[in-house]
Amino acid sequence: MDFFNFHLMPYRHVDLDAVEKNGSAWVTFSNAHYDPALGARLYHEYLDQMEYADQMGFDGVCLNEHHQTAYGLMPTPGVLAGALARAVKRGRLAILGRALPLLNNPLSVAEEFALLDNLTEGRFIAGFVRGIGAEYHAMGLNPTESQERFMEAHDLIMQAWTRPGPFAFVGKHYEFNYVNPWPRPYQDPHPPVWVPSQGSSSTIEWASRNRYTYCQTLSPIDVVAKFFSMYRESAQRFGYEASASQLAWSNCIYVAETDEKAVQQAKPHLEALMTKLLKMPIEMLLPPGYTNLEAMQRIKKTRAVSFNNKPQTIDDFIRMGVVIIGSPATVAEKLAEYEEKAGFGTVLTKTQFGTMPHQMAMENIAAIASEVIPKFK
Amino acid sequence: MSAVNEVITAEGVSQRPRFFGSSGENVLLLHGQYGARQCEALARQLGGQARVCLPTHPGYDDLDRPEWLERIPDLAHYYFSLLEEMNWERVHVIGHDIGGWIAAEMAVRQCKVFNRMSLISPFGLHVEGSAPQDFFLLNDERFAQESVYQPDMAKRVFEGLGDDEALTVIRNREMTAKLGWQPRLHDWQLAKWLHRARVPAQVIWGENDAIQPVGVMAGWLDRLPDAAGVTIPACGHLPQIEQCDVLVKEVQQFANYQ
Repeated sequence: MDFFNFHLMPYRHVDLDAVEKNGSAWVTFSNAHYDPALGARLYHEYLDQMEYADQMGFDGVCLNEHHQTAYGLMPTPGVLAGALARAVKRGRLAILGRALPLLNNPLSVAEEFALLDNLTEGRFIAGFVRGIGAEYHAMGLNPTESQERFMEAHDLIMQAWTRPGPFAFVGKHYEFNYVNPWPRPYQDPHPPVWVPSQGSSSTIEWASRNRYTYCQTLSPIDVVAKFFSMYRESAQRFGYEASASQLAWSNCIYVAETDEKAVQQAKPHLEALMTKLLKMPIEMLLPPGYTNLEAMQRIKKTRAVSFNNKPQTIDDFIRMGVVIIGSPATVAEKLAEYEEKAGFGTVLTKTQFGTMPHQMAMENIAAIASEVIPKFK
Repeated sequence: MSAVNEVITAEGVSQRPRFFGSSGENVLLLHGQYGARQCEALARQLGGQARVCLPTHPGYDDLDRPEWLERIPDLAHYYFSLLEEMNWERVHVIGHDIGGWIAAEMAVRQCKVFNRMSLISPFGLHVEGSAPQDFFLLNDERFAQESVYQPDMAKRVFEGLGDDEALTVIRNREMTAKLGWQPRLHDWQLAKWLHRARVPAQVIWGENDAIQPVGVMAGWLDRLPDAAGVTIPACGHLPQIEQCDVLVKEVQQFANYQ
């Protein structure tokens, strides 16, 4: 199994009461709450964590992209990938973003990713996402165009990487007389493409058709298993057997000496992530047209009914297999059980989450690297 | 003249516009983002002295979105075709909310199809300092409350949308997002050419409109070559629900029906 250290780079000093009062850490939560002195320090802490994970034996590091939120401070992941490209010496480097529909010029992603692939001499992984609904509020992009902009941007980037330039590209949203990016990707024909999603059936089918690695965002393990089965079944319909390496599970792992200590230590930080930083009104999460009508109707109904039943404590998240928290033995045992159940070949693990301080994250990285990863090699 | 409930096909879209009244001038009533149902009472009252046609915009209520529909001007072109199919040559156009925007886009392109134009809380223009509320971040209940001035009127905002009321609300909001997410329910091209709308016009606004502020009215009056403004007190974004009698009186006075 491959282990990636996946960072959201949260603004961990955020005033959680202010987030609570605003109803969300996204879009409308004022950036007056951001202190540049603290924030600048955070970037260095987080990059140190990524470099440390690489040194300690993680197989790679992952960045992602979110806009105008205290949940994650990575509006432009390429900048941070640039900072890591020379410091992460052995592991792979993944950006899961970019959110293609949000861009008015996807050719710049073809360029940026190709550049990173050269800088890392072929250790780069290219992620393509639509971006969650909140980004469409944050960036002013029409959510009803999300799907078609994503597809068109994807086609443009893949052509830019695989067809000798220059050539013209005329789409509905993007048009270029000359597609001819320098540099070309280092990997031949192009960097591996990974596609994170919350479990959209059309995305799963599309990813399996293109043999792209499908990454499931934070979800209970039963749901993860269901989506991964869908991927494998879809792959069969396209005439091949999907391998475990095409399936990646995004989770949080925290290791301490004993189960009790681990839960006690992780609790405030995990709950800050799950119940404060991730929280947003449904209108923000799902703007009109972002998802299809039937799904929208279903979600509106069920959200109204089950909102109060949503898991809220660390025990719920552990029990449902959204996260793995405990002693080294417990974590290894659970991970093996979930691997057996869902059949993934990669974990994208948040070793720092929510408000977790730097030293604690560093110790967690060390513990996972020395006591869990070797059992899966 | 078209018979009541006749199917009219234009630009590949078939629908049965509702007709009210049988004599007097022809009135084309273009509904807003809330769907055709919210203009029925207005149509019925105006129908006492005019022949009112209340069509449904393609993409709204029970009509599917045709491939060609992506921007408000697409609907302007659609309604030229619909008027041609009906053989209606000169009409009094009345438009509420995005319906007002459609009417204005038509007037800019071909004002001779109109003898007069009534715009009720229309979208289409941006006026600095009077941006519309971001109602896409409001849930249905809050959106209804913000749409009216008198709290007890809120329950009527999405009333009577049929068996699949919830689905219709979702569909209509999605369509409105499609047409007006960005720029947010306005078009700089319209602002640039609105002086070409050479038709007598009235611009009507609820004084307490919390969706599209009354401050936008000045933008319309500045640009339209022949327009008068009317504000209705104790009224939000839906005068046809909250102050229908006052609204009807203003429109009829403007049209000299009496």
